[in-house]
Amino acid sequence: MSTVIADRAERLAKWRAVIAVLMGTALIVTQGRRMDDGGAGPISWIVTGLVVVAFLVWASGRFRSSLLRHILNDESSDLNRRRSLMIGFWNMLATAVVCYALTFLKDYGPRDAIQIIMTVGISSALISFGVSERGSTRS
Amino acid sequence: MNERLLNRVREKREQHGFTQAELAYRVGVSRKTINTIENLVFFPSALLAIRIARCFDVSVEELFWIDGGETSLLE
Repeated sequence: MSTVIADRAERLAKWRAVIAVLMGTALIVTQGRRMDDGGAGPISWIVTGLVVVAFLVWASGRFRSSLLRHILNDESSDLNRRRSLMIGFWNMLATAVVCYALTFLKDYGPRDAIQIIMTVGISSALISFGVSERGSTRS
Repeated sequence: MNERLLNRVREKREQHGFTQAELAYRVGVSRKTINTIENLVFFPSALLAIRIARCFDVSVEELFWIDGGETSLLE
């Protein structure tokens, strides 16, 4: 195994963690702002979806060498990924419950509710993945 | 039942004069995986545990052991 590839995988993993946190935060901020303007439109969601998919493809190292991909997605990264997916899933469920309870207090449509649920789920998964990946590198 | 999987990966690594990056390179994982194993944050698969043990030329039991696991589950 080339040390050059190992170094590159290390750098890529660091960037991946930083970008995941930044993307998660940016998603919450932008979607939160749009809530005041009547919610995000379909184009906004398509763009957001494409950016997230592009990040996931890049982060998985799909178009890189198999060796680099193997180091990038090793056991600890796989565990962090599974944990963050679980966190995103449970946060989505909890947000759905909160949205349901809010319908008794405030009048808002299903589009708003879906936007809130999706934003919380995706953002929390991205942020938790980034934080746990960064945490793994500290002694 | 309060069992914990402990290891002496750091101790063995330092004995052999490896850095975390060197050990990671030898067993084919990232440095952060070695770091999390040493800090008992992450518990490796049997496959990786065997690979690390082979790297130090010791048995897996010498490297990894269960703390508080002396009592049989059937007792």
